[in-house]
This record gives sequence, structure tokens and C-alpha cells, in this order.
Amino acid sequence: MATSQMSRPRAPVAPHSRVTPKWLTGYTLAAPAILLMLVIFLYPLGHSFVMSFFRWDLNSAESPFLGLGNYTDLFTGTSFGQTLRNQVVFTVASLVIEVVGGMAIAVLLSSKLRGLRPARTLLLIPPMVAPAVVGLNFRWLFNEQYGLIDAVLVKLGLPAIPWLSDPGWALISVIIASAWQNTPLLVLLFLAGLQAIPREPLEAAAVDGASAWRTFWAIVLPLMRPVVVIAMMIRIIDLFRTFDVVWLMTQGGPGNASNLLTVEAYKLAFQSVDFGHAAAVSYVALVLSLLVLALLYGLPRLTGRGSAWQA
Amino acid sequence: MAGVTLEATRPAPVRTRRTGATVGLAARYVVLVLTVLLSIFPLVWLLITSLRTSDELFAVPVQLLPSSVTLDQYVTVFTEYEMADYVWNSVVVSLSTVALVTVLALPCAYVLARFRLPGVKVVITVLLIMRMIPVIALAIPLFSVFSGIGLLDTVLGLVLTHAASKLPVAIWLMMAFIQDLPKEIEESAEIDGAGVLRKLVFVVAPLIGPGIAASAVLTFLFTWNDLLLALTLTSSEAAQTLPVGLTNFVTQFGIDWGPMSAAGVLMVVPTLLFVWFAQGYLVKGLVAGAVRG
Amino acid sequence: MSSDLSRRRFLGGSMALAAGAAAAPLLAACGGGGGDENEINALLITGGDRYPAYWEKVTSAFTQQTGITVKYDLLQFTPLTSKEITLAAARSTQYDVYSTHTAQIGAFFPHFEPLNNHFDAADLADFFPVAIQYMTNPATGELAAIPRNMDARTQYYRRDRYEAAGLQPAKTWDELVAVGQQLTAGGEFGLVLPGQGDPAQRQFADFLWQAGGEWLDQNNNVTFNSAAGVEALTFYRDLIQQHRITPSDVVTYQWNENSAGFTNGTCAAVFDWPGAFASFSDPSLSTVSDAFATAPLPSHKTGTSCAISHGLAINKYSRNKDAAAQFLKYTVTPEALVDQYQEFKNYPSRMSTADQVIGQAQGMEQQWLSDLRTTIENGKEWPKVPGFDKVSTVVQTAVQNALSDQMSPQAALDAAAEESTRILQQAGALR
Repeated sequence: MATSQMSRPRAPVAPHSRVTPKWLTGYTLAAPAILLMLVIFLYPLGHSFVMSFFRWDLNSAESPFLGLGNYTDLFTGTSFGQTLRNQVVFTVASLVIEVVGGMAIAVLLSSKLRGLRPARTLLLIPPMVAPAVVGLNFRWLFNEQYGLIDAVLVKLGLPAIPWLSDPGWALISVIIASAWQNTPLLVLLFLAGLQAIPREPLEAAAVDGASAWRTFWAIVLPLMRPVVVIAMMIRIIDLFRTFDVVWLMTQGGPGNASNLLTVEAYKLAFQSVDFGHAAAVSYVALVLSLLVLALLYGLPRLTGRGSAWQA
Repeated sequence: MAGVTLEATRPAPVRTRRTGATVGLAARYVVLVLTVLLSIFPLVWLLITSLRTSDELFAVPVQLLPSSVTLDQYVTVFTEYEMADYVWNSVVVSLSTVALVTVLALPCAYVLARFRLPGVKVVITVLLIMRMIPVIALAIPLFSVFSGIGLLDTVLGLVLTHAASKLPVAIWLMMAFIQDLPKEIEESAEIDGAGVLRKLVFVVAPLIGPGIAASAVLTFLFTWNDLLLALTLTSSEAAQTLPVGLTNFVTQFGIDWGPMSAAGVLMVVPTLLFVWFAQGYLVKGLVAGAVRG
Repeated sequence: MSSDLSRRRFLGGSMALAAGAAAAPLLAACGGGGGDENEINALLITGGDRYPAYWEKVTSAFTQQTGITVKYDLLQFTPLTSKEITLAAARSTQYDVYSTHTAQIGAFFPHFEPLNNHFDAADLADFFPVAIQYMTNPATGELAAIPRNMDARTQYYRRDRYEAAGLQPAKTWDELVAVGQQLTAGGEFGLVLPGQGDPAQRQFADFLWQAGGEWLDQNNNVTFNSAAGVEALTFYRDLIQQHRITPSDVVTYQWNENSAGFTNGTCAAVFDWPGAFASFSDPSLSTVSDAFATAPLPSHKTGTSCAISHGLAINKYSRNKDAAAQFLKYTVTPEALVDQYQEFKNYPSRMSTADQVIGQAQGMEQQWLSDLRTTIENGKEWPKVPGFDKVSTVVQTAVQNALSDQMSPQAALDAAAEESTRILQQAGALR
């Protein structure tokens, strides 16, 4: 628009001058999206990073600089260690259950089965349901007085399990709910990966009389490696961001028994109105997930197999 | 299933190739059926719960099937809770986010895929990292920034935030689809004298229709499902969405299970619709490496 | 400050740009507050289906009397609090009147208009002193909100089951255990308690005071981990874990689950609020509507329990404070308070009105009301010092840690005390 008026001295009036330079078109097209992300994403992120070094709450008029105060408070406080431990247990256990379970189911389903197509459609439902609904639904299923699961256990002559009131079981309950939602996603991803595996090595293995187990370990798994790494990355990113399911099932309780980093940050910010500490917690979460991802990203590269991101 | 009973009645299974294969096949069907049942049953239970009367909810022992089916809980969510507001806000927020994301992501993805400009690599790397940021790290500062400029508790504030947080995934997805297009098509359009924008809208966009659809469906569902952003950035029925409405059933007074189940069922409806009618796009989007944003 | 402002302006500008045409129509959805002298905006509390009708009645009667229109929005307790945090943080002028509560007012003192100029001292003397005390900013001595009701808990028990077992309602902690054990068998329990969140802190506070303990001392040093605090939390835990006279999962209960345990007939006693009297008596909400009676809460070394209030406050940034003050006064006239009692069994915040209501009631209801008056007179709320809202979340976690047997009561309280001391120190509350 304005460019036509700012006629440049070097460009004489010619039909070609109407054409804006390619770089300008490029940047103009990309600018709105990048601007929005900068403003809504990066600016607040920087803002909260800075504020994690200040006192920042509703009560005090000033926000004095605390240095690493908010961070040291976390690590010297009583409960944050437990929250970190929960996060590690939650992440590792979920990852193992979902990846191993997802792979096992995908391998078993990868042959030609009747009803596989509708089954795949149905498997798409849990990952797409709102985690908030999953959390509330499982809270109801796990209810010790009126819930279905304990009722079934008792009917079978087994002891009822204190799913949500016992500190040990609470974290397990949350892991179960999260695994219920996400394992089907991995099944679908792995099924897609398995279909892309070339048939020749598998047929060769069958001719050699290799057992299914050996074929899986020696041929299928190595070929599936990029898919598995991507799936793990997706899940790690999400596991470090998990909030809804925990918030609606246990609010991190009893005590801190099922508290995760995001839940802790939310509680600090909106129950204690303490944004400084909350920002510090969210940065711990961010750094930790980046660290884990860097490991995952670096490992395949170190072993010389190429990184998953290139897949 | 038939294979299982067959095997069970055989007195001494001789392990030939054939029976082994039958057992294997039977096992596969068992796994298939079990997986599907496990995946679906909790939602069926939610539906059953939402159709019970309030006093039967708290019956001990638990009744598997409701003695009578009632829509009372659905009536309650609309009469005693602001469910109509929540639904309306959710629809407006999700659709506006999809529109904004699509309009912004397509040109950006096109530039990243086709233009060799300085800075493009940096942007792509930053996009990747942005997908990893915990939403809470964004929500807390946005809360304070938005409260300063009056965007808190508004639909607009929520749409802008959702759009920004879904953009990285959408750009990434569309970029992958554009890269798969043969360049010749665009070049021939260029010869015809089409400008970049015309080319993008009339040539590229139709060709990557499935990619745009996949990105739109995912953006819609992840916006529709989001709790954390809406929970932090809204505080009244002016902008609260369905998931936040859901948490309003969990107050310090406890949980109103009946209406909550009804609201939960209502929340799942779009999910089911998309899974049914747009599963191809959903799978494409997910497999192309989409990450919840 | 100025850099902050310009940053905001920059952000606002770029945001408007980025919003672009796609989102522009949505902008119309968010409007601003007006400054009409004959109109005030109020953010009021709701909960239950009768509240909206009550506010409609109060505001329209007020408009008729004064010519001032009241526009209002209703929110439940939790969203109400977060909305007010939002608005206070933004120094919003949108609402002139806020609904508030003794439990959360501590965070809002700097944002509420002092009411001492709007109410005369003689009138304030008619309110229960405990309510006025906890609506007052301890730092300035200024009243920040006017109490609309009194909330204190009563022991509700199953008359039929107690009579059948030849039992009297417990008057002491020891009797509470003994009675509870006799009534616990075969899926039925002697007692139900809340064990999560703010309700757990309420329950712990009652036991703490009854054991002779206090939250803080004169200088605001933490004392809730004293011997009395440990005794209180140990007793609370043992009711659940050792005597097992409550359902095993009360550690997940808040008020609704607590009340439901009584109304569905599984638990023989519950400590509940005045409003519960109405819902327990209602056959459509309760299976025990004609089978319950009330008694004062059991006591230990003292008979103290909480006495708390909902109240109304004026936004410090309001442009229409006089009209807002008129509305506040109107909602706490004796007539309005009597009306509130009849509507919700909300206990009046004025002593004279309480006496009037007691005089008009009969039988069990009269006994209940006069017992409550004693409870309220002896009642307390937790301290209103800067930072105590953070202390509350720390304590809630500690209580749950002890109730679920993850930590001993001593260890849980000591850890919470250490963290609370740091919080109070940082907030400048320690003297």
C-alpha cells in the first residue's frame, strides 16, 4: 500500500516495480502470526521469567528484587521436593505404561483383523476427550463409597482400594486415568509406524524361522525407533504440562501426595496469590522438560542413528 | 471369540502351526475387544451416570443400570448452572480461534516452507521449543498483563491466547503439507502471472486442503478441551468455557455429581462428532506429529 | 512504574494490531463500567437456587426506596474470589460493591473502602463483635466490610439412632469417640467430617481452639504447632485412622460430601452450618428430615469454634461510594436480616435481630438458635494478617498430610510452621 508512494529513486517507472521484493512479501506474510506469538507468547514468558526473581503478589504494593529467593524458597521448603518426586514418578511410570502398552497392543493389532477399522475409530475417542472430563469421570469411578471400581472389587471378594484418599494410591489413580486417555494415541501412532515398515526383512525373518519375539526385537523395534522417539517426546512434553486430570481428581492431594509441577504453580498463583513463586515453579517445569527432551534428542544423535526430528 | 471356545474344549491341544496360528488370532481378537471396551467403557459409565436420578447416584451398593432413565440432570445444568453461557462461550472461543489460527498460520507456513529468507531457521527452531512450554508458564504472566489492559475475563483475550498457543502446531503441520507439494504447480501459476497471495489462496490452499482441515480440527478440539488457560484468564460467565464450567461443579462445597456428568457428556459431543466425521484428518494431524498446544 | 505503563501501552497496541479484523467483532463483547450516580454495580455471591431470587428482591426493594438502580452479577464462592482477585489486581472500577467473607477478606484490605465514615459507631455496636473484629483491617483499625450473616457450626445428630442406642449427643471429645464407636458398624458410621481444602482447615481450627491453642501469638509468631495444635491434629487424625468412626475417605470430603454423609443416612452425626438446618429438614433433599436433632459442638479444654460471616464491601476505586454505602446499609437493616433468616436460615449478624428471631422460633429450632448464639459469642475466625492466605494453603496441605498418615501431626505442623514463619516474615507480618 504505502510502498507505491515511497517510490525509490533507483527504480524507474516500469511494470516490474509493482512487484514487491520477495523478501518483503515473505516477511509481510509471516509477520502477523509471528507478531501474535511474540506478543502473547514470548513477551509474557520473558515477563514471568523476570518476575520469578521478584516478590510479586496482590498484598504488597512494591515488588522488591529477591535474586534467586523464590527458587531457593522452593528447594528449602518442605513440600516442593515431594512435588518434584511425584513429577518424576508420574512421568516415568506413565511413559513406560503408555509406550510399552501402546506398542504391545499395536503389534498385536497390526495383522489383518476384522473390525480393526471401527476399532481404530473408537480408539481415537479417549485421546480427544477433554482431560477435565477424564479427571472428573475417573474421580467418580474411583469414589470409595459410590464408585463402580471399588464396588466391582468388593463383589469379586477383593478388598476395596482407597484410590483417592490414600497417599500412595492417589498418584497411581492419576497415572491410570492419564494412561487410559493417552495409551490409545500411542497405539494409533505405532500402528501407523508399523504399516510403514518394509515387508522384505519381515518375510526374510519368517523364512529363516525366527520367532515372533526375535523378529520384533531384531527387526521391528529398530525400524520403529524414530516413531517411538517422537511418541515419547510428545508424551514427555504433555506429561510435564499435565494439569487438568490431577486438578479434577485430587487437587494434588491428599497433602501433596499427587501434586505435580503445573498443579503446584497454579495453586501458588491462584490460591496463595503468589505469582513470584508460581513463576519460579513453572520455570523449573520448563527447564526440566527441556532437559529431558535434550537427552532424548541427543541420545539418538550420539548413537549415530539420526535424530527423530528429521523423521 | 469363537477361537477361544474352540481351544478351550480341545482336550489336548497339539501344537501344530495351524492351532498356534488360531490361538494367536484368537488372542489378537481378545486384545482388540478388550482394548476397545476399556477405552470406551468409562465414557459409557459417564453417560449412564448422567441419566440417573440424584438419589440413585449415591445408592449403596452401586446399581449397574439405572432403574429409571431421566434427563433431570441435563435440565438442571441449564436451569441451575449457566450451562448455556458456557456452551456459547466454548463455541465462540473455539471457532474464532480456528479462524484466526488458519488465517495466520497458512501464510506463515508458506513462507517458512518456500522462502529462503534469513531468520527462517531460527523461527522454525523457536516454534519447536514453543510447543514444549508448560501452559502455566504462559498463563500466570498473561493473567497479570491482561488484567492491566482489560483483556481478562473476555472472550477476545481467550481467543488471542489460544490462537498464539495453537499457532506453532498449526504452522508446523501446514508447513509439512506444503513441503510435500511439487514446486512445479506453483511455478506454472507464477508463469500465469499470479501474485504470491493469489497463488497462496487459489493454488496452494486448495491443494493442502487436508492439511488445513487437520490443523483446524485439532485446533478446535484442543481449544474446546482446554482447561488451564480458561481457568486462569476468565472468572465469570462472560467468558468461562465448558471445562471451567465443569470445575465450577467442584466447589468448596463439594461435587454436584449428577449435573456434572451431564455437563461432561455435553462436552464430549463435539469430540465424538469429529472422531466420526473427520477421523481421517484427525489421524493425519496426529500422525504428522501434532502436539497438544 | 512508568516503564511498566509504557510496556502495557505497547502491549495493548500490538495486541490490537494482532487481533486484526478476524477478532474485531468480539471486541464489542467487552464493555466498560459507567459513572451514573443513580446506578451502582455489585458483584454478589450465589450458591443454591434461592439466592438469585433473594438478591432480586433486595435490590428491587432498594431501588423502590432510594431510586438507585443496582446492576449485579452473581458468582459462587470460589469463582467470586478469583474474580475479585482479578479485579482488585487491575484496580478495576467496574463494580462499586463486592460480596466478601471473613475467610478471604485479608487479601483485600488494601482494596476495600473503610466503612467507618459510612456507619455510626452506635449502629455497629449492634453487630456481633466477632464479625466486626474480623472484617476490620488490624493494621489500620478500619472496618472493611459489613457482616451480612453469621456462620457457626452445630452438631446435628440422628435422634432416632441415638435414642435406640440409649445415647446422648457428645459434649466432650472423649464422648465423641465413645458415642461414635457405638454407632459405627456394618457400613454405618458415628460421624462424618470434611478432610480436604478449606473445610479441613476449618475443622482443624475448631479442634485447635478447643484444645486451647491459637494460630499466632501476640506478635504474630506461629503457634499452631504448639502442644495444643498437635493434640488437635492427632485427635482429628485418630477419629479417621484409629477409631475409624468416619468413612475412610473423608480426606477427600469438602462440605457437600460432609453433608451428604448425613443426609443419605450413613453417618449418625455431622458438624454443619446453619443453612444445613433447612436442607436436612427438607424431605426432598434428606432421608433423615424428621429424624435429626441438634446440640452444641463437643468441647475439650474450651468450647470455642469458628464464627464467620459473609459481608459486603465497597470497592476502593468505585466512583459512586455514597450510593454503594446506602445499599450496604439497606442489606443489613433488621428487616432485611429477618428476611434472610426466613429465606435461607442465615443467622442474623445483628444481636438484636438474633434475639428477635430466637423469640419468634419454637421447640427444636429455638433451642438450636439460642445454642448458636452462645457458639457465636465465643467464636473466632483465623487471623487477618498479611500473608495468612498463603499460610492457609500450607496448613491445608499439612492437615491432609497428617490425616492421610503420611506424616505425624507433630512433623506436619512443624514443617507448616516453618514455612508459615517464612511467609509471614516476607509479608512483614511479624512484629
